[in-house]
Formats: sequence, C-alpha cells, structure tokens
Amino acid sequence: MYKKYITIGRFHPGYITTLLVIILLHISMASFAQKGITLDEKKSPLIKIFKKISAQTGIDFLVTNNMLTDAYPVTIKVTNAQLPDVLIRVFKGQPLTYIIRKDAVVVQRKQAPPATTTTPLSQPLPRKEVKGKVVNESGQPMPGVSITFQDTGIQAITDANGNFVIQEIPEDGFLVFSYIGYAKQTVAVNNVSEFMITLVAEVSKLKGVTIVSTGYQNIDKARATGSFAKPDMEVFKSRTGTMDIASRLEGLVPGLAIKKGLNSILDENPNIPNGKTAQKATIRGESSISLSTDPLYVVDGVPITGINQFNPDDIEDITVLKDAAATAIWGARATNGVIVITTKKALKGGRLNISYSGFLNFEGKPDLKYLKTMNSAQYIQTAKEIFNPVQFPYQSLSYGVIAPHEQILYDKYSGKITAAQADRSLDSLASISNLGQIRDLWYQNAMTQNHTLSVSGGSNLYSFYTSAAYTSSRPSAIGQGEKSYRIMFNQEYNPTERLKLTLSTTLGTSAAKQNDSRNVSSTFLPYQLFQNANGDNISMAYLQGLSPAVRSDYEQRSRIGLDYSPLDEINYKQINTSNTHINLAGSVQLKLFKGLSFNGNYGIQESPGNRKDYTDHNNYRLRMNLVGLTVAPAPSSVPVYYLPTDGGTYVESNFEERNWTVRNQLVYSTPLRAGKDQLNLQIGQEAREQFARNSSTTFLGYDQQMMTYFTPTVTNVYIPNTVTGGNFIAGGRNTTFYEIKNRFTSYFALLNYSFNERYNLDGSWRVDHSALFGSDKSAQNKPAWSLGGKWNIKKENFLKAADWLNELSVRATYGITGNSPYAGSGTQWDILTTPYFYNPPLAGNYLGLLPKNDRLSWEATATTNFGIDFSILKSRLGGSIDIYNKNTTDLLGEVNVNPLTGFSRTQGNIGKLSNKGIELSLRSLNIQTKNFSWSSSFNFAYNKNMLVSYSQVDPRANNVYSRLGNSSYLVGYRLQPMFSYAYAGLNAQGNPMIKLANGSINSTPGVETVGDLVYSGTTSPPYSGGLSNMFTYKAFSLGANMIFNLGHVMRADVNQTYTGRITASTSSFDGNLTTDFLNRWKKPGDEKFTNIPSYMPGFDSYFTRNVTYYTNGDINVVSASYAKIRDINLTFKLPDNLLRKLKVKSASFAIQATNFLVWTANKKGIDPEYNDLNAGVRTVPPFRHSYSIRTNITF
Amino acid sequence: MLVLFLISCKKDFLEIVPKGKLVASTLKDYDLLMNNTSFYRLDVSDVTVAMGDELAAEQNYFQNAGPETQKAFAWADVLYTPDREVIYTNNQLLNLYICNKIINEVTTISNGTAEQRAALQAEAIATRAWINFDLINHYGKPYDETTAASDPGFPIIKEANINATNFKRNSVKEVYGQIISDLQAAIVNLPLKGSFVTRMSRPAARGLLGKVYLFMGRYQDALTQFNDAFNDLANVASPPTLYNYNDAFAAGGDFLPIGFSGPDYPGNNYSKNQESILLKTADLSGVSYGLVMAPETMDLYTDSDLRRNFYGNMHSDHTPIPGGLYRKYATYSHVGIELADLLLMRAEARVRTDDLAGARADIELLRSNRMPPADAGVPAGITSKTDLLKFIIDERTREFAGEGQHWLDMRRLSVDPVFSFLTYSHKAYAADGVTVSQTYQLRPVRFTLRLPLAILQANPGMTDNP
Repeated sequence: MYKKYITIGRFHPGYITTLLVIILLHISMASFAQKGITLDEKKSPLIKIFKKISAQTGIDFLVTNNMLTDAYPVTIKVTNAQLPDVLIRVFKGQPLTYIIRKDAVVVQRKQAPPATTTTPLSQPLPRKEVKGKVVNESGQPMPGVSITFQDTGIQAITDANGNFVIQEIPEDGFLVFSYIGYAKQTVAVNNVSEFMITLVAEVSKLKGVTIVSTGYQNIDKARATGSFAKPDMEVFKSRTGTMDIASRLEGLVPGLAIKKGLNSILDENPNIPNGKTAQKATIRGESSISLSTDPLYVVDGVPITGINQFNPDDIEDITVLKDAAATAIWGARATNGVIVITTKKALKGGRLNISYSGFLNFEGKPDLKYLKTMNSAQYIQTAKEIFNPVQFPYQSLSYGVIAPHEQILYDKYSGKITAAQADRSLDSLASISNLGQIRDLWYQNAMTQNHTLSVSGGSNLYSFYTSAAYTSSRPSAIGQGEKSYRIMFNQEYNPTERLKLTLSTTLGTSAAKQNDSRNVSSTFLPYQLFQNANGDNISMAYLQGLSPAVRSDYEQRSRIGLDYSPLDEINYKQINTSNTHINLAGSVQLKLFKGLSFNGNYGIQESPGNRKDYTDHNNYRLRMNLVGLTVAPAPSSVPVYYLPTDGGTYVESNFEERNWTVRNQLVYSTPLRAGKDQLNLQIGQEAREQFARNSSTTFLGYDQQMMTYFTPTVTNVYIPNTVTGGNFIAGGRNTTFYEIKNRFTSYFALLNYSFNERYNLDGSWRVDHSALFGSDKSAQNKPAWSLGGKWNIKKENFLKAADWLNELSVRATYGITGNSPYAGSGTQWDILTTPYFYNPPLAGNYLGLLPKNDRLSWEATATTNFGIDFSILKSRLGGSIDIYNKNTTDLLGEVNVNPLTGFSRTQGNIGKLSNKGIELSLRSLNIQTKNFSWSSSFNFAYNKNMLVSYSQVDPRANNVYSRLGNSSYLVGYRLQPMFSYAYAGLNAQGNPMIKLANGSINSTPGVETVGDLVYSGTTSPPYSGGLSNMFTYKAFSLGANMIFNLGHVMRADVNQTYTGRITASTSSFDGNLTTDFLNRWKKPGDEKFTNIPSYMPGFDSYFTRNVTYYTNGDINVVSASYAKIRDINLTFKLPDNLLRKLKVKSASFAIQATNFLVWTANKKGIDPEYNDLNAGVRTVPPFRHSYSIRTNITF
Repeated sequence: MLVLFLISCKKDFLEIVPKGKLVASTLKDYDLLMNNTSFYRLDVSDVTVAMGDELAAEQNYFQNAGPETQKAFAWADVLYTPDREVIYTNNQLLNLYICNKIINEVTTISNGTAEQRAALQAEAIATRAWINFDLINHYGKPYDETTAASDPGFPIIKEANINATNFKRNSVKEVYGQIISDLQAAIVNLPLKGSFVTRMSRPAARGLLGKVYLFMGRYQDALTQFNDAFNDLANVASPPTLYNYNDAFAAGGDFLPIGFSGPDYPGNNYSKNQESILLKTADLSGVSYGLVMAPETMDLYTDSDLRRNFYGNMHSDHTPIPGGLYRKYATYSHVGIELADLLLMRAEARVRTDDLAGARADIELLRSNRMPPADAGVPAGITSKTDLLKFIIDERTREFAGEGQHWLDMRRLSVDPVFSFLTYSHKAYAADGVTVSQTYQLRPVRFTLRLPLAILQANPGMTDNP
C-alpha cells in the first residue's frame, strides 16, 4: 500500500485520520513483525533512524516533513531489540508521539498542553457522542479496555462485547485506548463517530490470560473476581497422544486432576451405547460421594454431555472455572467446576485462511511383562507342591476346570501314568512360555491418526470457520477399531450493526467394530499356547469345565461339537456400532437501545445410533445353550432341538439422544460517572431437556445373508431331560425399551460493577427446577448465588511508579453452588418400577418397588476463595495463588439402613464434607536471546478433604470388612481412606497375625473390631500439578510436560490366593499367581523369613485364619506418589524466508513421545496409574510409550 | 425459538412422569406388587435346609461345599462370616415391606370396589403372617407355652418405612399372637382361590393358621382350621389334586422320563404345581452340594414306594456317589402350603385329638397316591396313638426329605413331650461312602439361629440368641 517510507506533505489531519481508520479496519491475523532491530547511532536525524528501522523490519513510517523539522536528533544503541522498545527510546523527549499499526508507525504531534486559562466567552466546541468496538488481533471483542479522552480525562470501558460509548466529548481531540499487555493506541476523534479499533498485543512471548468465559459472558481477566484458569493451548494442541479433550488438559491447570488408569473412564450411559466417553476429571477435589464429580462441559455456551464428539483441532480456547464466583451461574450443576470451551471462530480479513493439521500416534501393544506373575517353571513347581487330590478328589471335578498340569498330576496320582511320565510331561510344560503368542495373536499395534482441514474467512457482514476431520483409531485388542468423520461449520452474520447472529454446526459420524477378543495376559496359565507349531489353533475344551467324559456324552447325544478354541471364538462374534452426532448452537445478539441488548443462546444436540451385535451359532456359549435345550436320551436317539442349530443370535439396538437448551437473556451495560465506572447487568431464563431412548430386539437363528430368523414355537416352559439335565426355554421378551426424559428450567441474574477501574464486584444468582419425578418441588427452591470482589492494586497511585510490578490484584469470593441427585433417588412416594426379567415369571407380570425416601435434599457447596494475581519484571514472571475452602452440606450418599426395614441401603444426606486447598500457578520467561528462549510454567495444587459428619449412624463404622474393602468415606477422614491391619508377622503355623489396639497379638479370625484397624492414608492424591518447559532455538522448539501426583497410598499387589486349587477358570483367562507365592510360608520356622501366609487347601481356611490380615496389612500399604513426563515434543517451524518462497503462511512439524515414569515412591516397581489402589491388583498397561508425528500447515 | 421459549414457560413443563415408573394409585398397581417374584421364588438358599437330620454329608464333595452349608450342617454357632449377608432373610424383609405398604395403603384408594380392596389387603395381611411365621422359625425358640412370653422372638414390623429405627425383639408369644390375629383378620376377606397359585387364598390361610396352631401344640384349634381348609377346597373350581405316582411313573406318565436330573416332577419343574395350595419355592442348589440322604432316611422307604424315584446315586455331575449313598434330585423345595402337608398335618391333629381312624384315612389317601395301593395302608403293627404319631412324622420325612421341612418338624418336636427323647446328629462319610469321618451333635441351643450380623449392627440394643 505504501512505499517503504513515505513523507507526506501537508495533509489535512482529517484525511490522515480517515486513512488510519481504513487501516484499522483492515484486520489480519498476520502477526506483528517480530524482527529484531539493531542500531548504533549518535545524534542522527530522526528520519535516518526511521529509514534504518524500515530497512531492517519492513515497517513503514507515516510522518509529515513538518513534524520532522521539529524533531531532535537521536542517540541510540540497541542490539536485536523489539520495535516498541526501540520506539520508546527514539521518541523519548521528542515533541512527537506515534501509533503502531500492523505494518506502519504513524507519527503524530504531541498535543500542546491545554491553556492554563480559558476565556469564558469563547465559543464552546461542538460536542458529540462517539462509540465503537475494540477487538484483538484475532478479531475477538475485548471487554474492559479503558478509553480516555486525552484532553479532559473522560473515561469509558468497553463492555463484554468490546463496545464502548463516550458521550459529550469535543470533536477535536484524541482518544487513548489502553489495556494491559497491549500497545496503547491514540486516535484522533475529528469527525468520526464510530471506531473499530484493533489492539495489538505488546511483543512479549509470555502468554498471559486476557479473556475468560463463563459460558454466559466473556470477562476481561483483569477485572474478573472469580478463580479462572486457562491451560496453555499450545500444549493442548500438541498432545497428539490422545484425542480425549480432558486428557489433553492434564497438568496444565492447577486444581484440575485427570484420573488415569483403572476406572478412569467416565462411563457412557449403558443404555445408550453411543461411544461417548471421556477421561474422568475433578476440579478442586471430590465434593461428592455418590454423585458425579466430573466437571460440567460447556461448548459455545451450551452444556454438552459427550465432550469427545468434538475435534480437539476445532477448539480455540478453554477456560476452567473453579470457585463459586466463576461457576455459580451454572447453579445446580456448578459444584464440580465448569470447563468452558470455545470453538474456532471466523477470521474476518477478506481472505481465506486454509489450514491442515494431522498426526499419527503409535501406541503399540500392551506391556505384558508388567505383571509379576510366575513363569511356567515356577508355576509347575508350585502346582506340584500344592497338588491335593484328597481335598479335591478327581471325581468331584466333572464340572470343574482341570488344567493340563493338573490332569497330569491326577493321572499320576491315580496310577494312569508313571511318575517318570508325569515328570517328563510337566517338565515340558515348564519349559513353555506363551507370552510371545499372547502378544502376537491377541493384540494388534494400537494407533490413532487424525487429519483436519479447515478454511476460514469472511468480511464484517459474514464470516465463517469450517473444518473437516477424519479420525481413525485402533485399540490394541485384536480386530477392534473405530473411524469417525467430523465437520464443523461456524458462521457469524452481522446484517446490521445492531444484530449479530452466530450458528455453529457440528456433524460427526463414527463407526466402530469389535469382536470377541479377550484380555489375555500373563495371568493365564503361563504354559498354555494358543497355536501349535503348524499355526493351527489349539483346542482348550477343558477351560469350559466339562470333563472329557461328560463332554463326549453331551456331544454324542446332542450331535453338537463342544470343542473350544479361544482363537476361533474371536470371529464368532461381531459388534458394529455406528453413531451420528449433530450439534447445533446458535446465538442472537440484538442491541435494543442504549446499552441494553437481548442475547439468546440456543443449542440442539441429536445423537442417533445403532448397534448390531451378532453372535454366530459356532460361539461356544450358543452351542452350550443349544445343547442345554436339546432332548436326546441316548446317542442313538434323534435329537430334538428347541433352539436353532444355525444362524446366530442377533441383537439390534437403535438408540437416540436428544438434548436442547434455550437461553434468553437481557444485558444492560453502561458506563457510569463519566466512564469511571462500568455497570453490567444480565437477567435471563433457561430451559433444557434431555431425552434418550433405546429399543433393542433379539433374534435367534438369524441368517445375516437372508435376513431370516427363527421363531421359537415353544417358549417359557421347562424342558425336562435335555442333554444337560433340564432347562427353561426363554422367549417371550424379544424387544426391550428404555426411555428417559429430564427437564430443567432456571432463572438467573448477573451483576458486574467496576469502580474507578480498580475495584470490581461480581454477583450472580440462579435457581434451578428440574422434573425430578416424585421429589418435592419446594426442596428445589435452593438458589445458587455468589459474590466476588477484586482490587486492582497496581492501578492505585502509590504503585503506579513501581516499574518492576506490572500487575497486582487481589480477589475474594463467596458463593453457594449445588449438585442435584439423580432422578428418582429420593422420592416422596414408593416408586413402582418395571422390572427386567428374561423369562416371563410364573405368576405373570409384576412391579418392582423403590422405597419412599423423602429425607433427601440437594447437596450444597459453599465456597470461599482468595486469590492474588501478579506479574513482574516486564511481565516475564507472572502467576496466581488461590486459597479455597469448600464446604459441602447435605452430602448425598448410599447409607446402610436398618435391614429390618426391608432394605439394606438407600440414598441419604449423610453429612458434611470439606475441601480446603491452595493452588499456585507460575509462568516465566527464563531466558530470551536472539535465537534462544526458555519459558516455564508450573502449577501445583494441594487439596485436603475431610468428611466432617454424618446425620445418621452408619453401621459401616462398626464393620471391619466394609472399612477395609471399598469404603470410600468415613467421618473424620479424607475421602477414599485406606485402613489396614497392624501386621504382626506369621505365627508358627504360617498364619498371619495382627496387633490389636490393646497391644495383644492375634491370629484368630473375627476377633478384630474396627478399633483394631489403623489408618494408612488416602488413595486420592492430595498434591498434584504439572511442570512444563519450552525451549526454543531458532526454528526448533522442545517442550516437555511433566505431571505429578503426590501424598497418596495404595496397596501393593501381593498375592491374594492362598486357598483352593490353583487352576484356570471358565470365566476369564486367569490361573496364574504372582511370584510372591513362591516365598510363602512352607514349614515351621519360615515365619522368621517371610510375611507371606501359607497355602491351605480347604475352606477351613476361612474359619481358622484370616489371610487378609496379611493382604490388607499395613506392611503392604505403600506410597502411590509418582511423577511422569506425560509428553515430550520437538517441533520444527519452517523459517519465514522459506515460507515466503513456498507461499505458505506457516508450517510446522513435530514428533512426540509420551508416558515416561520418572519417579515413583514405591520400591516394588508399581506404576500407580496401573494398579487398583485399594485392592492392590496390577492391570496391564495398554502401552509403554506412544510416539507420534504431527504437522500443521496454514496457507 | 420463540415457540421453544413459550413451551418452556408452560406450567406443566416439569410435569413429566418417567417411562417405566409410577406411583401406585390403582388397584391394579397394588395387585401387581403382590405378583413380585420375591414372594414365591425364593431364589436364594435357606441354610436351614442343611440342618435337618435326614441328611448326611459325602466328604469328597462336602469339603468343598460353600462355607455356610458346611457350618449349618455342623450346627455351628456362627454360620456367616461378617462380610456375608443373609440374603434369604433380607428377601423376606423386603416382602414384608411390600405387604405392609399394601395393608396400610390399599384401602385408602378409590379405584376398584371395596370388596376388591379388602381382598387384596387380606392377601397382604395373610402373606405377612406367612413371612412372620418363617422368620420366627429361624430366629425364635420353638414355641413353648410356658416360656413363649419371655423367649425373645423377632420384631413385629407393621410399617413400610425405610427410615424406621428403634426396632425391638418381640417375644415369641407376641409374634405368634400377631400371626394368628393377622390370619384371622385375613381369612374373612380372602378369596376362595387366588388369581394364581402363588397368591394367598382362604384355604391357604386356613392351612397356614392350622400349621401355626400345630406348632403351638393347640391341636384342636389346628384341626378346626385344617377341616375348614378342606371344606374350602371342596368348593373351589379345579382344586389342587394329588399326583397319583402310580400313574405319573407309568409309561407315558407325567413324571417321565427320569433323566440325569431325575424325574420331571414338581421338585424340578415348578410348572407342575397341581398339588400346591400356595406355591412358594426356594432354590436348593446353593445348599445341597455334597449333601446326601442319611442311609437311615432311605431305610424309611419300602421298596415299592415310588418316592424313591426322587433319589439317585449319582452326583449332579453324573459321577457315582460312593458307598451307595443317595441324594435328592430336587432343585426346588416347596415352602408354601402343599396338599400333602395339609393331609399329614390334619392326620397328626386328628391323632392328637384321638381320631385315629380319621388320621389313618388321611395318611392312606396320601400313601395310595405315592405307591401301589396294596402297600399304602398303615402297617398293621401300628395301633397306639404314639406309634401312629411317629408313623406320621416318618411319613412327613418320606414326603419332604431333603427340602427343609424336616428341620421345622425337629424344632417343634423338641418341645413336644411325646418326642422329647429325640437327639440329633449328622454324619459325614469318608471317600469310601461307608466310613463315618465326622459326627456332629445338635445342641438344643442351635434350634434357634443367631440373628444376622447386619441386623445386630443396625440395632445396637438388640440381644442376639445365645
């Protein structure tokens, strides 16, 4: 547009302003020139300096000759300095000032100081109202920008939408727009009455938080009173190890804990198997026992049930809301915190932006060597030692699993084979390891790939962002996989200045398949191969628990083979699930009149899907069902089959989920006291509906090709004298229905007030009513509300001079939020239910019953939060500290009720829970040189929770078993408390002993009471956080993100089996024991060397001793603390000159590796993420490390 | 959108009744509650089955039977480890809740006729009596008029309230009093025949009331009830009838063929319930592993007794039971009111009230349906009242062995002067099936079970049985 440097003659000032406005309206995403400037000048004319800067940076200077004549010469020496710093020095003392534009610096005269005296008679200047909007470089509105009319000091602040109005100012003068972290901008008023201002972030690599979103409003972080946190979106985007949105946030937000490992998946509704899962997350500790503790996910202002239907690549921004002031507007769903997600929006700039991003993530196969199970030699040796044909006579095992090694031992015992033969056979088993076959035959290499192509662009009237993505994921279970396609189309219309419409459309479809693959690991018999040397699948009929004699009899009479080969079974079952997600979110913003506007948000989510589950008649279970309903008294008789002998069992389910949200609000926003204050008021109403249904039909003898099926002629009767004895033939209920509908209606109000720019007050109020059937409506009139204040101390006069301090503010908030019980958990009446039964009952239909329980009310959480935000040393070090105290009352939970009532357990408001904690987040730019920079961010959270009281006496408190078992709470303790026995070694019989509270040593079971248990800690980590480091050297950057969880405990994975036969089972592939068992007590005297109890074959074991004295003993409780480098990324960004040649705006390539356990406190090699912390059982990690490559290109 | 806004503001926006749920309001709703399977398919095992002395144990299998079965067979003090719940009793307490709900609510609704409401209420009251009778026979001492007023029984629960506390054990006498008054109140309004055989009827309630009196030693009162019950049955269209085993086991008979799991008879197939006045079945599979019939029990049968067909000398897995021992095929026991039971109880009441001829007629009616008529008569040597009484008790064993009924007889006879000499023991046979490897003696204190631990924990003031 301009030459490199332009000297303008005598321009009319108005013309320049008009030009400026044109430039300002030219919005572009291209980042500010960031080239370093090197100058070494002594008393050089200003024009020479301009030329040099222009030459080095490509920046144009707009300046008139007139101005230059007044300028002073400049002395300056800088090396690789940034433009704003240079300009500050260049213009120091000059009679000129300047404005930085995208690629130009506009030079202006400084205004002469106003005359000290004015003639009262002088003509008053014409006065006018100006208004406008302030946006950032991305085109997002900027609330809270302060606008000062330079001459008079009249001030205004932009509202939530970035709009401002200033009344009664002279036409002649300048407006100064200022905002922390952004370059000040000065604009002449002149004849212009409406401004569109783009503020450019000051050149600083330290990413600070500017705008936070509650889902109801966007607030400038500088004036927000609540506890808001934002993750580093660069790290979020780079985490290609997972497509799960919650997992990508791990370690990036203080107080947000992502659960890993066992039971960490937020389950989908089992009735609506639409594949919507997410990693479980908690914000600031668990504030409920029985209700969900997962945060509420909000996308573009609308609550979403299945967050992972969104493509992470489409996410622009995430805000995590933690305290009451931030969350209370979400009312009865706010207690667990809220994660607000904003999707990518249109970029207005008159040209199209096209981007591609893609990755391939490779996880490989499960880490089978992680479990410390016995090898075959150890296993066979152990089996020989404990073989007991007297306790377990062979003839009593006709329906029991007899593993090959046992068969040999029984054969030897009965004399069928000689001892030498038996030893040879056992030795050959002892030399086999099946781990290689398990790895090769049961698992595939897990990998995920994702490709996203996006296009955005538009003008002020219309703009859009659209993306298309393909994701393919393949888990390690053989034969499983999922493919999904997603499209997002976000549009914004601004037909008039008063009206803005947005429409966000997301469409996703996915198809998943799975078969009958099983989780086989080293817990299975270690010698049992799955294929022989010829590659044929090995039969393992013994695993089904029929002796060869019984099996042969069944087979002969039914003429149905009952062989069983696990590998063959894999393909006898196919499950195909397909899902569609349609998500529409629209909004309306209509300016009614001065400061008052109407905002509407509307969302509809529709997720239809179906699941086709086909089990072939070759499947063992179906064959066995058929045999059980076949009448054939003798092998010679013609079998009569009551079930089909071909086809398969086919279950077709169709399900649908449909949710909608309607929110209407009125917003009033106005400056007060001549712009010194700002008031923002909102009131609104919201209605929601959640609907889900499923119908599922079962067909027997279904032929997939011909689509025919079998209609049983005989149903619902007992068929005597079948091959297996006698059986009931089902039938009746072929189709099942499930339907659930919930409705909610809410009213809310919001207030924000800023006083003198430095004192801010936020308030919110909301009441929720839901269609909780059978509950008392008056119990729902519990409003959620909050109040918060913030003092921006840095803006006080006494700190204005403190240059080292860039920001300092303190916050304090208090509020009540809720957590509502599941529908129907508390009722005013007994609720009659439709029971599920497979066979129609003998006496016909009936109704089940849920007992009346009218003593339930909602959980309420009162949260107090204090926070400090600061930033020092030119914003190179910044951070926040938050201290909170959350008290939850009327805690819902499952309580034991008096069994004489007819029920053992029910929901109750069992008491009070407190969560206290402190959170710290720090960001720093440690080193910054021309080619190298190092920045860090660290966050840390400490949470202490405590169950304060119960309203009912809990018998659990008196029961040793429930306290040791899965008791997740106890008065006076942290949640997830772990109790154990004070272990006192083994007695002379090899039975474990404990120390009782009275100091005596006991080995007799049943003697102990709860008072004899010792508290060992909690299984939920009190300390958690993350540390991220980013190193940049020229075009390369290296990032490492570490997470840590500290201070919790777990049970070590000791052997649990000390009784019964050591063999395989029909239900799952197990049978092996941990190597601990090798070191068990075997003979008197061993108690001096080992703590591991003896083996005792019979059930006497349960009454003569208690092996849980050992397994639940305090010696087996270890620290579960650990730190992991979750991911390491190496990124290469193509340099600018190359990009220009390629005509590409930006391009980067990255590689990533994940999951490096850097430290654990336990010495047993347990990765706490893959250990059942309470039960002390290791699980097989799905992979050891994952590796991915990623590329991002923008055209 | 405006439309949506308006919808959401409508008053009934929140008034939705979820699918699959309702609040009882009609007679039909209450009626369907009484159809609950928990009332008639007690799918959980009652360990007292293992306590009858007609049983013995076969060590090979029994040593690996469930711990509770082993402990019950040994008449141990503690049957359950603390982590185990007594599901059988919990199920009865749930049934009690449903009964109390119906009793207290059904007459307040306006749906149906007053007669229908009264009949349903009567059914719930009579069912409550049946539950209480079952509970007191587990947790209260056998009824002894001299001590019943001070013997601790079981709490009488007449309220359906999940938040109720402050339960106390009523005396055995109070509980029996409640059972009697409930049955008396119910009989007036009960229908002659229930809507299904699992539902209470007037003859069933009279049979139960007679049984209660019999257990209390009030034989004349018992006889009145039994006679009334038979009179009621005579007026019922298609009344319960006995299977004639001579036909059922003849070629093409109802109980044939006899497969690996035994005949197709009521003990295996609850569709075959023509002998039931009130059908209630309990699962035996959980308590029968390793249990066999004591040889003395098998000796009670004559060779021609067709009830022998209910026993086999193979384990459930078709392996032979050593030593020629037998086990019962039955997978269900019948714990309601059966026609055979009613006949034998009336026979007993008739003997007790000196009507020996009448008693003989009842016995022979049953026996002629169980074996060839030629062998069905009461043996000639049995003439005295006491001998006939003993014969009836033996006949009860022959009819109900292995199904838990005998344990109830053992309990009540322990306070009957006629049988006070009886002592009981259990034998476990070693792997050869002949050698007795272990003998257990029943101590009288164990006629009464200890209370479930969960009940004691929830009611701290409650004393357990010794």
